[in-house]
Amino acid sequence: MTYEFLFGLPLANLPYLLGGAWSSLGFAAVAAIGGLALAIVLAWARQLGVRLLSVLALAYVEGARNTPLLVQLFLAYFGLPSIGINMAPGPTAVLVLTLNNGAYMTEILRGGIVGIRPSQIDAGLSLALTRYQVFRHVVLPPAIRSVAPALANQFIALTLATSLASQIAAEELTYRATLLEARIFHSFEIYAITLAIYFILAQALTRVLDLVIRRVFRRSPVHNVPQL
Amino acid sequence: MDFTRLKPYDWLLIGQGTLITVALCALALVGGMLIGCLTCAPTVWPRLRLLRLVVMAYVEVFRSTPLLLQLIAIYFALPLVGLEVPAVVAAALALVLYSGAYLTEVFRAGLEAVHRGQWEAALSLGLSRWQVLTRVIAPQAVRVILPAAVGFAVMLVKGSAVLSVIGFTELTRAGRLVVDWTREAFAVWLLVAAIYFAVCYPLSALGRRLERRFGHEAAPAT
Repeated sequence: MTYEFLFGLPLANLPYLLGGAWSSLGFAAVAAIGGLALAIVLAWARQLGVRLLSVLALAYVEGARNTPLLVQLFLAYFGLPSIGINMAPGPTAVLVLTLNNGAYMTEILRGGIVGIRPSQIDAGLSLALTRYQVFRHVVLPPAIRSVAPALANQFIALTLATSLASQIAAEELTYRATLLEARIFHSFEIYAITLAIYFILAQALTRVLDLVIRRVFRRSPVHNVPQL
Repeated sequence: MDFTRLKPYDWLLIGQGTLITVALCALALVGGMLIGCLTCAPTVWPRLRLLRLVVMAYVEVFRSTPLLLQLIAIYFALPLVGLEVPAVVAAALALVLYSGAYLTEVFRAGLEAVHRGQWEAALSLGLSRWQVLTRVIAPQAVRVILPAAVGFAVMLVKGSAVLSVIGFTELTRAGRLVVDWTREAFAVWLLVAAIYFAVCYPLSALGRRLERRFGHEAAPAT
C-alpha cells in the first residue's frame, strides 16, 4: 500500500505549531523556576530538624515521584472541581508541572547538599554565621554548582513532559498538533513535524544549557544515565 | 469524595488495568533489554562504526522527544505502511522502543564503568572478545546496570500512563472510564494515583537499596 506524504499544508501551519512550542517552553520555564525555589525551601526545611516538616517533605517528594505526571494532571484538572477548586487548563498545568518538577529537583538538590563536607558547615558556624547564612552562602552555592548538569537534564525532561499538558487541553505544542490534525487531517505529517520540533528543541536546549553551565559555573557538564 | 459509588465492575476494571499495566511494563523492560544487548555491540566491538551511528541516532531521537508523541506517531504511522494493528500492539511497540533507547544508555554506561584494564588483562590472557564480555565484563557491569534498570522500570510504569491516549485500556484509561461512569473524579484519580504509588514506591526503594549496596557508581540524572 503506497501512501503519498503531503507536507505542504502542515508546513504552512508551522507558525501555529511554533507558537505552541513557545508556550511549552514557557510552561517549562515557570515550572523549573518554581520547582527550584520549592526545592531550596524544602531543603532548608528538612535540615531544620523538625520531624513533622521532614515527614511532610518526604511524603510530598515520594508521592510526586512515584505517580505518573498524567495522573497528577487528571487529579488536579478533573478532581479538584469536585471539591470546589476550578482552574483553567493553563494554570492547572503550570501548577502540577511545578509541583511535580519540584519533587525531582528536591531530590537532585538533596544529592548535592549531601555532598557538602560537614567541616564546611562547622567552619561557617564557628565564624558566627547563623544557620540561615550558612545554608545560603556555604551550603547552597556549591551544592547547586555540583548538581547543575542534573538540573539541566531535568529541565530538558520537563520541557518534553509539558506535552502531557495537552491531555488537559492546555495550549502547548502537542495540543496544537492535535487540533491541527482535527482540522486538516494529515496526521502522520503533522506528528512527524511535531516530533522534529521537540527533537530540535531538546537538542538546542541541551547545547545552550551546556554552554551556560560551562560559562556560569565553570565546570564541564557531565551527561549521564537516567536513574531513580 | 465517595468511594461507595464505585460498583464491583468499576473495581474489576481498575484491577484489570493494573495487571495490564504491570504486564506491559514488564514486557517492555524485557524487550528493551534485548534491544540494549544488541545496541551495546558497538561498545564491545568498536569496528562496528555504522551500527554505532545508527544506535546513536535511535537513542537521540527517542530520548529527545516525548513518549506521548512517539506513541501517537507510531499509532498513526503503522496503518500507512499497511499494518492495521490493534492499539495494544502500537502501545507495546512504542513502549519497547522507548525502553530500548534508555536501556541502551544504561547498558553502555555499565560497560564503560568497568575498568579498561579488565578488558586488556582478559584479552591478553587469550580470551575471545565474547568470552571477555560474558565472563569478565558483564558480571561487573551488572553492578551499575541493575540499580539504573530498576530506576528505569519506575520511569516505565509512570510513562505507561500515557498509553491511555490511544484508547488502550491500562490503569489510567480504566480510571478515565470509571470517572466517566461514576463522576467521582477526585476519588477515582486518587485511587489510581495510590495504585501507581503502590507499584512504583517499592521499586524505587529497591533501586535505592541496590545502588547503596553496589556503591555509587550509577551517575545521577533524571
